[in-house]
Amino acid sequence: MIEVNNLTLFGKSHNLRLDIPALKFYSPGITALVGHNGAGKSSLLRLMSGLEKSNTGLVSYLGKDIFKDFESLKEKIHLISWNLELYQGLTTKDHLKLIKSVSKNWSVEIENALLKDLSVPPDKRIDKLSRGEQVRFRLLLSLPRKPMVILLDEVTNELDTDSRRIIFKKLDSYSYDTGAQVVVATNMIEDIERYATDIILLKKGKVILQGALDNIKEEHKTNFEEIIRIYERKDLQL
Amino acid sequence: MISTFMFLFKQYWSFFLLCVIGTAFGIYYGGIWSFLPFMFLLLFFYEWNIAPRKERTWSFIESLPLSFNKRFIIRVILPLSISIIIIFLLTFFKKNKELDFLISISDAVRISSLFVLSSILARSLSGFFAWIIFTYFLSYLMSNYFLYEFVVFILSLFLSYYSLSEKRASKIKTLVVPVFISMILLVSGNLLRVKIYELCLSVPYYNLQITVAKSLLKERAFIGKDISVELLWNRNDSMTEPLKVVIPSHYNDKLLEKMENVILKENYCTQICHVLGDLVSNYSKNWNQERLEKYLNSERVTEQIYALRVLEGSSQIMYLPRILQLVKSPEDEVSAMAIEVLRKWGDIDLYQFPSNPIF
Repeated sequence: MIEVNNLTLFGKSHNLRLDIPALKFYSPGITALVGHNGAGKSSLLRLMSGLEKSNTGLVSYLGKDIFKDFESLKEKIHLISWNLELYQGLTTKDHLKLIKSVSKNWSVEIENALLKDLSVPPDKRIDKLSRGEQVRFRLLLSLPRKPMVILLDEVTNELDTDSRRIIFKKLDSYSYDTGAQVVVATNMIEDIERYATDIILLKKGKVILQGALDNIKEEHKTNFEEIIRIYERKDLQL
Repeated sequence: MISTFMFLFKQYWSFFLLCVIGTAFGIYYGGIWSFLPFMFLLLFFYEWNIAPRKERTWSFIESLPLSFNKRFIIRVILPLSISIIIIFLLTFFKKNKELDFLISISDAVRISSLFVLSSILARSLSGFFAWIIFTYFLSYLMSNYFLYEFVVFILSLFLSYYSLSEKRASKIKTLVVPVFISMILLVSGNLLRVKIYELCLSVPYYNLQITVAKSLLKERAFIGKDISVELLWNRNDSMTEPLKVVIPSHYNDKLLEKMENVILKENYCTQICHVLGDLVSNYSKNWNQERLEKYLNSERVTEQIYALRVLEGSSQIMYLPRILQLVKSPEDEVSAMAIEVLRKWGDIDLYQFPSNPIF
């Protein structure tokens, strides 16, 4: 389980990007990380994947500092983001061949199941793939390696409904089959309502709402979109 | 690892090809064409380390289940090796220049180390050039020190390691200790330079031996810095000025012998052989007579010329029969030098020996 304790992160111009005293992510299930642009979602995901170091505090996985122990944890924590590109001039086959050859615990069963369910083109140049195909291909590069934490940084936002449905269903079943944590940064309310089990609402680097989605909806007796508006208004009033 | 190299080769094959073709052009045509491979090399470093950071493609390699050391090999050691090979070939096969293995290798290692470090530190093309200029300037400040190329190489590797690790690596192990070791290396290298050169004279590699011998000769390593002058009066003639004989504070004949063994190996007396002979001729009080006689009596032209060159500094007639023999040598240079020596001695004491049939 990933835990965040006393986290602060400052930007290059010393602006406060994140200020989170405590945060826990639960598995199995999909946690939706919600917030406007600039709320700090991508920054939080980068810290959780060990790519960035916080100014203060700790982001840990099973008690280990994710940044310091990046080399040993990177096989367990995968980040899928448009900021992490594939080689556009090479093909899906090239990328898959490379990953399979260097991975020690590649699961052929998961690979075959994904090839069947995700309909990824087997030998197509990356720059010729559609957005949906690219996201599905990235899942194909990730899931057979059996990560325990999968972080998606707004990769599903621009996809059509069918693509999103396939991806979320796959992530959901993977999470329940393996006990993995899935954290998806998204603003698609429809996806959150349908697939998320927990939500974290970020605003200006702070967590203004966190909890199981069903409990939150029952407490407020309204839909999730309205809940977000309530909390954002509450924050403004404060 | 091989699969990773093949993957990257597939991506970057055009740059490898450019570097190879550019190097071939540079070696074959020389002159201004030598700049071509350097430009392609800079482009290669930019495409290998800087552009992927900007295009965010390198993150795919970072995300692979490869250890940090393997990624270090891919990002630092591999381009460094390619660069060393290219620059070495260019400098070694430079048109109209003498082939010098050691200078080429040291230039190649030094320049490649600075290129690779700059490509790791830079975030853009302009930054890359700025880092090259800055690091080159820093290395230039150390250029008077012995072994400075080695220090540049070590520091570049460790700094690259630290930077690539995103500062996860221990600062003490990857920064402080290498800098400390480099300083010790520079200081002790300079203090023990002559000893190290002396050791290198024993290494069975002629190119190294001759390079080291030249350096030792340039520094006059076998004689002390302080000298005293002894005046030798002519017993027979108190009216003429005395001869001045130079006596150094320290004269390392063993080192001189090692230098002679290397320098006199050539089939003819090279310029360095003449320079050594000229230098030794100044210290007649310290000559190893036995060895000098051995050289003079040798059948090898190089040794004969060297011995004659040394004897030019003699204040008294020595080995006259042998020198008279060498006057008749079929080698013009030997004969001319023998005559020159006799002429000098003719000035010193005409009355000691019967008139010279040559004159």
